[in-house]
Amino acid sequence: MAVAETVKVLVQGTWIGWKVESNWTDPFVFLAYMIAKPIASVFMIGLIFLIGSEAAGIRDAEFFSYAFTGAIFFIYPATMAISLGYLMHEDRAKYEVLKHIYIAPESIKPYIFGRATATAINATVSVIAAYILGTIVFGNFFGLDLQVNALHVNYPLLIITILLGVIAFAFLGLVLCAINLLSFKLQYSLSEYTTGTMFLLSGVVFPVSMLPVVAQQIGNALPSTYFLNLIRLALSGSSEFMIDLSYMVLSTIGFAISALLLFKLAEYRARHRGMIDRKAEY
Amino acid sequence: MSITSEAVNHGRVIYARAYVRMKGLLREPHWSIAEVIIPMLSISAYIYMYQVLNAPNEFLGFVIVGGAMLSFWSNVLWGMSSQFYWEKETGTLGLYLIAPISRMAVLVGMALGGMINTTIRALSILFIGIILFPINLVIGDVYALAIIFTLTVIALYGMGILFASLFLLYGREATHIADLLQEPIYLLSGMYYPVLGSRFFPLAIKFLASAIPLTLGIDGMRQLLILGGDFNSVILHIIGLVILSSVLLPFAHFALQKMENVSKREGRLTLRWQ
Repeated sequence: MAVAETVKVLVQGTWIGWKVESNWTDPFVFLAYMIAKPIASVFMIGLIFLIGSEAAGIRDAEFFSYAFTGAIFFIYPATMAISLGYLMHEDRAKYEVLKHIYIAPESIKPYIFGRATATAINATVSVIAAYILGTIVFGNFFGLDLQVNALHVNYPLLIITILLGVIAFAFLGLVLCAINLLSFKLQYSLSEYTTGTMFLLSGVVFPVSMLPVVAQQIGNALPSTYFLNLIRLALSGSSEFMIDLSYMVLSTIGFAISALLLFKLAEYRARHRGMIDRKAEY
Repeated sequence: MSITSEAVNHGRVIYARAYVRMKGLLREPHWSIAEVIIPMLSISAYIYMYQVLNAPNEFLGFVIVGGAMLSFWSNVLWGMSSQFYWEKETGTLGLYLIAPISRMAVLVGMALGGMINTTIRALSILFIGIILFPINLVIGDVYALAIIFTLTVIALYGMGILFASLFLLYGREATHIADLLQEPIYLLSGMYYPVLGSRFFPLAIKFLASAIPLTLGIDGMRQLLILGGDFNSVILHIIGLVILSSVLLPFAHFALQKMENVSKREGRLTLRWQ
């Protein structure tokens, strides 16, 4: 019964998430919005590669594939962190529904994961669009190949990695929700800090080994680093993925436990301090 | 009301609105810190990418100059364009409109305060970038640099005032549209790479990109700060920015009046949660 209730809230959270993110305009404008933004950031990486390579006089196609794939799949953590980083503020202060969600029994965490699911679905559309358009534009106009053979891709690994990544990033979102539950002024900067840090430390557009040692160690503790490594391995069809997969599973579990504990603590403090329905911004 | 007293009134409005912006900088210092640290994270990533590519050091400088100017674009989008939308959401827009003041003066004050705050942030980004990465600044012509910078900021905030007027009509879509004007503009304006001198951009795209003040401003500043250019190397940039400023500001004034009337007629000025 409890499981059925949880699933019900999760599905409703997904549906609300979809509605909130998409119903501000008509479906075509929304689709264009969902595609234009990530494509622009991915194309920017391609152009940096082209312009930088031309200035250097060397064109390393393998590095193009590395950076471009990283930029495309970074859409998952970036979109989820931004969306969930804003959720508490939006529901508490803007739409004033957080207290109602809290009144319903055991609904807040499934609701957050439902919202995370809706964002992950949107991110998937953006990733597919960026991948197809990126391949067409940079392949046809600039002779750059992503070096992906559709027949050699390790599809089971790709699907497992994306699912694991979505779970890890949903827990990351839970951490952001926990922090925002206790603060009223961090909703914009927190998600930007998170995505910026992951972008720099996860080996998105350059290998983590380029960073100073301390930064490398932080990068190696982030699930996003293993997520991108595994995506690259899956696309190349490599069979040497067990170490990265193990690290990904371990870092996701570690992240999930920390996120659940932090959220429980934040929830406790927020309820005791009367912060669940406090409107500080408006 | 005489012209003098009207000018004094406008001046007071401009000062009052700019004061709020300046005071905000001191009231929430962590926001200002965030607006320096957050861009530095992505700037660093792009610099590392250029280093992996073995691109010449001047490209690292290009990224830092672009990243510093990014602060202005963020301020124009979130501090100017979306501002009337936020005022509507928080219920203060109505108060502006009831008060016997010029809306344009409110926006100019907002722009002035934003310019001062953002210049401090942009200089901080430039300074941190120079400390962290091997970048050589070669300032050949200080006057040309001052002209380019001033014109860029005027044209950019002219665009901000124009957007603020257009956004007056919007509800929730305001934040999404501001959001949409980030990465595509970074792509087109060459925030992290040169656009106008690159062979990878067709002439039509370069022309289109030049309609964004940021493109001409960043390129001109790179010429003067990184490549050691002089006034003659940026004369076309200056002409372009003068044209943009002289078109955007009057157009912004016209748009503000038009949009205010439309909003009043359609009852949108106090409508929340659209």
